[in-house]
Amino acid sequence: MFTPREISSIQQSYFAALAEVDSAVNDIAQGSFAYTIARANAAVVASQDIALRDLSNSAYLSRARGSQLDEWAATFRLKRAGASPSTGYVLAISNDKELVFLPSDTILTDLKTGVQVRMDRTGTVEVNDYTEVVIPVRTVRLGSTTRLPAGTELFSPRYPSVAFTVGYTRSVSGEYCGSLEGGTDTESDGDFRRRISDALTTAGSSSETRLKILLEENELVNRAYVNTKVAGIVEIWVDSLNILTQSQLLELEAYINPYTAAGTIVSIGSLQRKYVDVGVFVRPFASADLDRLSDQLASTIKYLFNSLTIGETFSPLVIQSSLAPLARDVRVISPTSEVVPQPYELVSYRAIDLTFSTQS
Amino acid sequence: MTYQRRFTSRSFTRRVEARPEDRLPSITGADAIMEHQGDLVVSPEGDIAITTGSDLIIKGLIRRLGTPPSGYRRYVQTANGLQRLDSSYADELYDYLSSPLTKMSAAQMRAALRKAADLDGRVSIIDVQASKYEYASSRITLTITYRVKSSSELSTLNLTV
Repeated sequence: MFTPREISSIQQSYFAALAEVDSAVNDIAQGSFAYTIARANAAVVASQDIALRDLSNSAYLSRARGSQLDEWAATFRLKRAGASPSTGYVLAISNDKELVFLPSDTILTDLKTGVQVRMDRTGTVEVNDYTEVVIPVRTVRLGSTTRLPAGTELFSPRYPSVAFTVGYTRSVSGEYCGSLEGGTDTESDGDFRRRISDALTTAGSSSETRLKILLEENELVNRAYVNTKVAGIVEIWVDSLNILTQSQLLELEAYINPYTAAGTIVSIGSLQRKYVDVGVFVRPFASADLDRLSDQLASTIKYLFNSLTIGETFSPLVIQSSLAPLARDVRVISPTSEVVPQPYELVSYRAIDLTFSTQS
Repeated sequence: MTYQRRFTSRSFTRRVEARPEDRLPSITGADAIMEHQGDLVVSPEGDIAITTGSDLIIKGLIRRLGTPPSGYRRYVQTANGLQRLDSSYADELYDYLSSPLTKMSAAQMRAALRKAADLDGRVSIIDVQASKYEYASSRITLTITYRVKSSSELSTLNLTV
């Protein structure tokens, strides 16, 4: 979990960096040149820290928020429930002898709460003075605050002679029945997160993706590789910062047990690495910046290793072909042949040695 | 980068010269010299002019006293919400500039000036005096007597409002 730094802490880092380079300007009192620059720098870094925290949180279901959570849910084909209007009926009766014709776009307002409803039907509605007409309506705005109890009086400035009341009928004692209901708010992050979690724990939950996500949520696990060898037997290899003890592995087994289908046998083991030393001889282009080139080459090699999955064979030809466009000549000195790991091993690099020759 | 000491304010007078060792950057650090308008000063060698020692402290005090409330304050968005920074770095004396002066003004201004000056931990404020309000010129003169802690150098600073 990434925790954004305090402004003062960022400023102190800046001052320390100034001291390291023996800056000629090193007065750090409030109001000084260095202090003012450090404060401006800290403001920028603080905003980047917030972005980093959000990025870090987005990797975990338990901490993802807003659109990040929506992306999580999309993995399981779930969507956040949107807000909805309240719906129901209004009874209308005219106080005048003459007939009133209400067009379909008539809007009625509750003067106490400000909630407005629109007629939910096409064509005009004929209102007379001797019987109440039932009109279906829905609220203009969305959300739970649009719900109105039966008997709420509504008003239309265009038709002041018509009495509108929420309800679809009256009881024998004359009370209105039928509220405006159903208005809901957009599903909150908390509710949505619970629903995603429920989806993870219900039927069919032994799928490889779900188990992998659950395990990588656990603080003991850095990466998890889940493989269903045969139906009913799931083999899991976990990678962590430290080698996990037997009791920690049992703890993980208990952790995912509720999420596996009944009768499934789960085997969890610590992933082991098969290390190789990488050596590459490089003849750069004449105009190449060697510092930059070596960074580029190293990061490409690291990427190739990070893309490997457990038990996957690593071929030096992949390095050769990936690095070839970056220099005049590239030769992989080590490894000299394919690296074939055991099924429970992941091929990783121990060291990357780049040798440059600028002689033609 | 070369060092240069230079006085840019005409409003203070020095009574005791600091000893050379008190002016070492190791005591106070070094800062670029800024004019009142915020411009940097260029040394004859073409570098940014630098001030150190007691000069730096005196310039720092003058800069603080020349900063109106909210003049240096900044708002920064942090993980805990909007944070206000450096709101104490200001001289409340400025609040009186746009108000009519009264007989009480001199005492109030003196207190405001003392409060601002006391916030600079590198100097000890010995005394703050305010002249009587002159109706004819609508002016009050304030005098701060202070000591630079690192050098025990005694100085006075006159401000006319």
